[in-house]
Amino acid sequence: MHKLTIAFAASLVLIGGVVRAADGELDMDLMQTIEDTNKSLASNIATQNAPGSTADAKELQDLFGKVEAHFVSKGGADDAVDLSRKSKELAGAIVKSVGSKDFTTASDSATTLSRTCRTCHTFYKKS
Amino acid sequence: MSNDSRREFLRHTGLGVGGAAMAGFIPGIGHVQAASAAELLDPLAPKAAHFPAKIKSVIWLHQNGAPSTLDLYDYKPELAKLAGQEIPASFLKGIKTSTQGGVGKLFVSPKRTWKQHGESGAWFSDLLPNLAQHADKMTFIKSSTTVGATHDISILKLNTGDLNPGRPSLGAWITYALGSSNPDLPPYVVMYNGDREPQAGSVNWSSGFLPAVYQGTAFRPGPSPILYLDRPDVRAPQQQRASLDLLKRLNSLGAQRYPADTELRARLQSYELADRMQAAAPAAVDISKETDVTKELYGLNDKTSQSYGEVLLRARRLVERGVRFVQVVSGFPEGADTDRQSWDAHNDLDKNHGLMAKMVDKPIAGLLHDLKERGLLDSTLVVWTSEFGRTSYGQSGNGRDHNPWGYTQWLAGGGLKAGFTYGETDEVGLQVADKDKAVDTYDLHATVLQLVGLDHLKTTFLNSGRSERPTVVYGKVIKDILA
Repeated sequence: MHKLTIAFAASLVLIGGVVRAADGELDMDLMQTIEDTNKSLASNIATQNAPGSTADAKELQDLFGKVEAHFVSKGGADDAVDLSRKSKELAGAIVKSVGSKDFTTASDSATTLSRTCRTCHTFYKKS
Repeated sequence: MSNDSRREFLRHTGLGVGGAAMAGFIPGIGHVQAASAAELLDPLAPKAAHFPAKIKSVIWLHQNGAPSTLDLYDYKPELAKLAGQEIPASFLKGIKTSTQGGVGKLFVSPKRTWKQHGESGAWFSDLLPNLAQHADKMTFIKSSTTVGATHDISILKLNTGDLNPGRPSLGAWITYALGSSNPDLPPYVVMYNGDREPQAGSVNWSSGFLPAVYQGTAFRPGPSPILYLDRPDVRAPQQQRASLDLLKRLNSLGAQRYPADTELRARLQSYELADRMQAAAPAAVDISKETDVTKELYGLNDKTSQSYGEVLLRARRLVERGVRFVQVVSGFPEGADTDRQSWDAHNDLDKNHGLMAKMVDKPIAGLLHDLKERGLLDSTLVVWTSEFGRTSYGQSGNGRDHNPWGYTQWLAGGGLKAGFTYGETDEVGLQVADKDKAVDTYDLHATVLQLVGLDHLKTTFLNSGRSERPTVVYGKVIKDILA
């Protein structure tokens, strides 16, 4: 019975994913997770929490990879592909800066990353 | 030994927590920052900046309702050529124009004339003849951008950096980070002209999640700017002092039991501040002794500019006395029609802006001149700002809709390149031309903070375990405009 429930829930998630892919919109939960993780990253950098900053930045790298993949498959969204790729690279740069305890550079990169998010949203926003 | 004298003894000998903190060390906690140590005794004690400040005070001139900077500073010959035509699709790329009015035809008032002024050659329209004389004192940001299409939301973002209530305003952050430089006056004052508080409300001078003591104090227009400040005639000064002392003692007992109650701390502080303000504030806002020349300079001799001029004259007097942040929200002249009580010109822009520009032109010009003459302009920052601008396409035939995509703001004062223009809008003045030069409210906040000596990335407050800063997760100092 338990396995059946899990299978049913998994199929719902899958169907939800297909619906999202079909209407060409990005999963809003994904975008919300990015926003929350980005805020957490800014806080962790400010408090010089290296493990927290690294975990957040790595998660953002992964999430921006998904955003990039979405826009690549959607097509006709070169700006969004470039900006999500840039965001992924910035998240990677933050991991490196935090690794060398350079929180000032990490903070600058995190701010640039946030601005990149805004730039993308001026072009691609839900109406 | 009584409790009072015991506390005094501990304070003066540095044996109490406060004293230890003053010395920078609390047993069991370790070394603490000077700022937080000072805060334990007095949350408004002056605190060190991150680096030498260029200015001491900010006068934040919020032009409520969003003026059309296309009709004031941003001269667009191409717009004049295309007026009356549909806007070419290329100018609408990347924006959603889903505001109420839709997209009308490109609009230019037939009355508008333009001229360059000063050595900088800055453009001003016929609506601002007095301000135009100060072109070389001003630093224009012609690539301003923001979020939102409704006033209250964008005003909130302009002042607090967020679209939802709950974050501290810029004035509150500065007060929190630097403290007060005059213990007899509130360090953060909010003023407005007109017969009612600004529509967007006190959330725009709130301290948000910062302790409540850092919120702005609203000064009403008129001869008694602070509600209930005056001591009632039936109460003698000694009676008042005795009751305040009792209140202070009771509140202090409560504060000891609830050390995290910042509202109580703020109340304690505000009773004492109010007591001191009874003497200091009337003098600070009493403009009766200003000379006739000064009053005329601020436009007090004209019905349209009188109320705004009085507010700006008070702003200068407050800055003279060390008030750090004066937030002025433009209201409206006495007797103005209900649809002309802000810059929000969805129709009949000429009539609206004719009135509003006349209300602010002479007073702001007077303020710049007066600050300069008194040697205060170098230590003061004047910011002309608004929640957004207005569209180059028309609305209702002779008005303009809201435009968050490209508009002009300006600054004047210490630490800036005077007579300088940063950024530009496209050929019809709708969007920022170069997106890399777009200046969002966060960037403006970061730059103002920089000028008062604060690094926006290091101005932080721990709220529910999360480090917060004035610029949320954004903000970039506009280095190109700094001297």
